[in-house]
Order: sequence, then C-alpha cells, then structure tokens
Amino acid sequence: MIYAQLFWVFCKIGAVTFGGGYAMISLIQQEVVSRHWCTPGEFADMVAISQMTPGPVALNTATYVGKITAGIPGALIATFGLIFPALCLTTLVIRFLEQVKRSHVAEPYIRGIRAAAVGLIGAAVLFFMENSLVDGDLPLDRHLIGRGASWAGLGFLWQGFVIFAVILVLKKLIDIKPVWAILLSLALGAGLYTVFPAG
Amino acid sequence: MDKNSSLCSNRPMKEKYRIYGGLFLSFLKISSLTLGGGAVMLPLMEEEFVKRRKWITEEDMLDVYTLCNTLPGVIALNSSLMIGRIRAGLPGAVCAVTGVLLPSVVVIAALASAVQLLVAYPLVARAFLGVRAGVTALLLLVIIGLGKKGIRGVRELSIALFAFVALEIFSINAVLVVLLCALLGGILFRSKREGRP
Repeated sequence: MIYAQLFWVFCKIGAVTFGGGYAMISLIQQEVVSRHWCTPGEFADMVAISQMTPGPVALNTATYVGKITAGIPGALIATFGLIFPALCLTTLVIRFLEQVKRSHVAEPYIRGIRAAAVGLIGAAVLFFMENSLVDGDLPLDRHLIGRGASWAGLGFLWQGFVIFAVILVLKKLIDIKPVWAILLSLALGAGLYTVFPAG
Repeated sequence: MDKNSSLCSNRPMKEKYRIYGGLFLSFLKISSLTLGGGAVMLPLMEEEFVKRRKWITEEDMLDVYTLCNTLPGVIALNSSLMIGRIRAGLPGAVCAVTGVLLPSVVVIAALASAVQLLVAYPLVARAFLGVRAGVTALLLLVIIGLGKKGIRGVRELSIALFAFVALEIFSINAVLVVLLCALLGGILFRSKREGRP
C-alpha cells in the first residue's frame, strides 16, 4: 500500500530531524532511492526545484516525492506524514510549556542530533558532487568498492566546476538568493553543456 | 499565553472567524514570500505578529524560538502551529498551518508534473545537469555556516564525522544514524551539564 508507505517513511524522517530542513535531505534521499520511488538523478532535480519554490526545502521535497509516486493524494499524505510527529509533539509541549522550559533532560541528546546534522548535510554535498563535478559515483560506499569502482576511473566535469565556482563566488560576494542561484545554474548548465557536450 | 486563548473563547462567533481568517491569510502571505525555509520565516513572523499586529507578545515569540530549537520537524511549521495556538487555540493552529502549507504544496504539485514532461527535452536535461553543481555550492555554504555555529569542540566534530562515515561509507540506515547520534550526544554531553550548579 503506497499511501501507508509514504506516510510511514516521511513520519519517521519528521520525527528524528531537528533544527531545520537541510539535514533531512540525506534521510529522504536514502529512503526514497532505496525504495526505487525515484532515481538519484530525479531526486537531485527535486531538491533543486524545492530550493527555488516557496516553503521549507524538506517539506517541498516530501510533497514532490509524494506527487511523483502516487499523485496528488500521495503529495498530501507525504507532506502530512512529515509534519505529523512535530504537530503532535508541539501540541503536547505547549500544554506543559513552563515545565519544558525549565527541564534540560533532552538537551544533550539534541546537541548530538545537531552535530549529526552537519555530517548528514556533508553526505548530501557529496551526493550532489557526484555526476555534477565528477563524472560518476565516488568510490566511498562499500557497495561501490565491491563493484570495482575506483578513483582513477572518475572523470572531472569542468563545466560543473565552473557553475559551482560562479555560484560560490556570487553567494559569498553579493549573497545571491537561492532562487536566483538555482535559475542561474539552470541557465549556465543549458548553455555550457550545449556548447561543450559532456563526455 | 493561555490568557489569550481563553479571551477568544468568550468572543462572539463573527470575531472568532475574523481571527481565524487573519491567521490563515497572514501565514499564507509569509509562506508564499519566503524561499528557503524556517530560519528565514521566523524574523518575518516576529515582524508581522509581534510588531505590526500585536497578536502575540515578545515573550511568546521567545518561547516559540526556544521550542522550535528543541522540537523535531520543520521550523516553519512548528512555529506557525505555536503562534496560531497562542492566538486562537487549536482552530487557530489549524488555520496557521494550512496557510503555511498551501502555497508550497500547490506550487510543487504543479511543477512536479511539468518537470517530468520537460526533462524529455535535451536542453532541459542539460540545464538540470548544471543545477546540481549550483546546489552543491549552496549546500557547501550551508554546511560551513552550520559548522561554524554548531561544531564547538571535539565532541561535536566526532559526532558529525561518525554520522558522515556511517551514512556514506557503511550505508547504515539514516534514521538509525540520527538515533545513534542522539545517544552519543546523551553520553558525551551529559557529564558537563551535571557539573554545573
């Protein structure tokens, strides 16, 4: 039952992610790609689009995955699944606001999850590097190592490096908004890969 | 904050619906104008609800900030739920959350179908090949910003490295990785807290 699966997957992710959406990207990627709901390439496109449309990135990605897996009902169920644990907890916590503010029981655990978020986003960076800056999958994963992938076999996509550098510089210099950064990379990608085809 | 919600239960019906409508529209506006998510929305919410409309107090807003950082989930949604709840009880919370959700769900649902069709064109496919490089740059900056704020010592650094290695090299289930990191945090950070008065 696809609806129940969608709800359960996103409910799990919503329950364990703290402090914002970017850490959720790696979690969503692993769950949906391993279930073959979309290919890694499709997932990358989804995250890009989720960054240029209104609303939180994690929420947009959930809606997107739901939509392409099971249509509009799927989109609604995935979105609801993602927010369900937080809605329950928030409603509960607001009743005991004063006690919650004074107690620090959860603090060390949350600090652990916060630190983990940095590692999780690191994994997401790596995922986006593959097939954009390098031509293929980085041989870090033990499954890939087993299949004989190697560092020597990787090609570098200089077109990708150009786009990467342009966005990095623009963001640092003039703090370009994500939506413009995404639109600019789309345009640069279309231009560069048309004039200088990859491979 | 309970003072406010009990106030509205005594108001006439018409006034009540005006409050629900106002909550819905305000959140609809904020959500459709922000790109990128919760961290961007919180200052906007403060501007709209504390300073402009005076619906909630500065102190309520502070509670919202604190709780959003200690609860799981998407910050934008947790905070809208709390503000709606403070202003007009459970129906207020429902109106606020719906307002936040509506623009993103509608836009994404429409775009998802369009993109699936468009990627068949080589030019669009090439554009999307380029966009991944751009996203890599954006995420790299996110992680640098988070790292500067969040990684304050060896303990944080080792948890972050553990998460990365577990996920990327050993392909351990990501939900499990997060739970393990919570446990590690519980062990590593506990002793310091108890040492304080």
